[in-house]
Amino acid sequence: MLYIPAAVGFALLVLPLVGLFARADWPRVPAAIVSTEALTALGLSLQTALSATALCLIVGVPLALVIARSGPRLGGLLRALTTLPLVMPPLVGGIALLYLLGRNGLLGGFLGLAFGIQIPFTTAAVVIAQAFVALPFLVIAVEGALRTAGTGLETVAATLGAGRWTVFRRVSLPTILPGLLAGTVLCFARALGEFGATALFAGNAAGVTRTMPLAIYTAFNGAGATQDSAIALSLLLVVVGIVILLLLRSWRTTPGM
Amino acid sequence: MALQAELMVRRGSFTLDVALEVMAGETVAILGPNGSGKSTLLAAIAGLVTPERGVVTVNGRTLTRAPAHGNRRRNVPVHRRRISLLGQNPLLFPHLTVRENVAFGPRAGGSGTAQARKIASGWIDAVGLAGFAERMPPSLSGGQQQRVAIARMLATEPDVLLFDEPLAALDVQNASTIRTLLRERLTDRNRTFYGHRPGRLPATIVVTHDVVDAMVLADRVAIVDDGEIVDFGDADRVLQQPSSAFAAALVNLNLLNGIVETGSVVRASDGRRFASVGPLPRVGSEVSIVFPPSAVVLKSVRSEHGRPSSEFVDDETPNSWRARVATLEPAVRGVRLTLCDDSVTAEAPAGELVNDRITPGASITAFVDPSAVTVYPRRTNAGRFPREVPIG
Repeated sequence: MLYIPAAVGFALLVLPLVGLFARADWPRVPAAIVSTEALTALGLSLQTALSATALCLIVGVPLALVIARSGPRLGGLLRALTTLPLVMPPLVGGIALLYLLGRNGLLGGFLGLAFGIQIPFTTAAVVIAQAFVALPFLVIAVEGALRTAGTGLETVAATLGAGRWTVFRRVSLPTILPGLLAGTVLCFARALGEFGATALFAGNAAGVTRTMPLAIYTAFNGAGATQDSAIALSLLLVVVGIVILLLLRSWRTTPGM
Repeated sequence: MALQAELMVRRGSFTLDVALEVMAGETVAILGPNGSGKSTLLAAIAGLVTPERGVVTVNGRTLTRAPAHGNRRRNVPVHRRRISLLGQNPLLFPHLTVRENVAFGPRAGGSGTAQARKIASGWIDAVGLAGFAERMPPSLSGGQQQRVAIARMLATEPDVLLFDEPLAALDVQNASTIRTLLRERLTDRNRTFYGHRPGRLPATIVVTHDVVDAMVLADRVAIVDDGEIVDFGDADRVLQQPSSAFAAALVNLNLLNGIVETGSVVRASDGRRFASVGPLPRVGSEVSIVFPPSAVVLKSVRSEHGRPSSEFVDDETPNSWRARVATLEPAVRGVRLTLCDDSVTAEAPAGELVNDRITPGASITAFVDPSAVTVYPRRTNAGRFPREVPIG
């Protein structure tokens, strides 16, 4: 009884990929992948997704620490607010970002007047949009790891004479490393695949804001002939995703981690 | 004095208010019921809890000074106190080998990697785990993990060792071997196997609810109840001549307070009179009266054919009184009986009770063997430390 719904669920997850692979015009895939537009989009995607991941690590780990060390009420509130982008349609996020940082936005108007900074429709906007949707993945993973680890080991380390930095480096960080790695990978993957918020907040300018998902969308919506390159680009993203998963797996099963 | 602590800590409606001194090389056991403030005391000494007021000094170095003592507040951070704390959970670092766990303290203290590993090896041998140095903690048994934790705390050579029920999570056999190990390590005055800080012995506090820990490990014993030290002194005196109900129960003695009435009789505060074969303090002085439950002999009072039992007792006869049995419960040797409206308990072999038809509700006469009654001057606050601890 258990196997039938399980099989349906599995098919739902895997069969679309099979369809994608089956539909691909394999002889023309290499050419589509190494085309200038594809390589530009891939380069921009990797660059922005890595930047967004770095940004998430810098602000996300401290945020996770604060949530994990807060009392149940404040912690719960912070956790709920942090996970909001996770349950919100990315398009809504894009609009929200536009009304915060856009030309007439809450902060954007001030930034433009005071510093002459325009954020929307720049590469920076892509990074911000990606960080907005990806940050919750990192925070949730790290915060969960921190809460599971508790503060007992850190207290012991302190009574053994270790200062705060030593405690963090030699005890806290190694203890939460699996959670941190998983969170970072999820965060990067989410940033790489980000479409909705980017499209609204950063636009679709080739070389500036046209990341892989936007390139795929553009190719797919163009003349029928270019659908092949959309498929090829999609395959590339799937491969990147699989590589990430394999990396994570081998990392986590390394003895001593 | 290596360690002097005078502390007041508030936690909700609970207040801990104690003064304690422990000498270098000495082990003090703190016994007390759950919730009496034992763990809070250790946490405050270790710097994990900030007291409302008080002072903690170690070898003349002030670690904590809260407002009431002078103007300048002082709170040395946990990692600079040279105080190690071990609870019932070993809390080993799961990602480090046994050797790296034990070397953690020396490394944090500034030893080089090679030196720290050498120190660690010595301590791993000293707790009987030679050959386990490269193992990961999760692959060890609970007892082995606690040994590693002991080695890890000793390897930092702290000025103060704090143990919070270190054996409570272990089975009886493991607890007993590790208790012996702790005794060896705590009483090893030479510290021959490492000795890079010769002559500086730690002051040790062991919090426990097990009287065996106190007997085996402690030079002196403090009884803590409801946030206060109610008795303090040499281990044998505090345990053999208890002054609190808690301590008396720990060593399985009945304890009554009273005054010396004549040269051979004492009168308990409830009016019961006891004769003792030993010498008594002077007439009129306040005393504690103790006797083991097994020295209380119960005889059922049965009227046969309307006549009272031949063993007639009136309230003025020393060492005996009439009572009703409240409950029967299994004890180590036979059955433990509690009496209605009476703190005294009795212990008797089950066979005797069946023979005498002693059941809950039965009217009985209790006799106490005078040779089993010990009387000594009552310690009230006299056993406590002076409240004035010199402030360093």
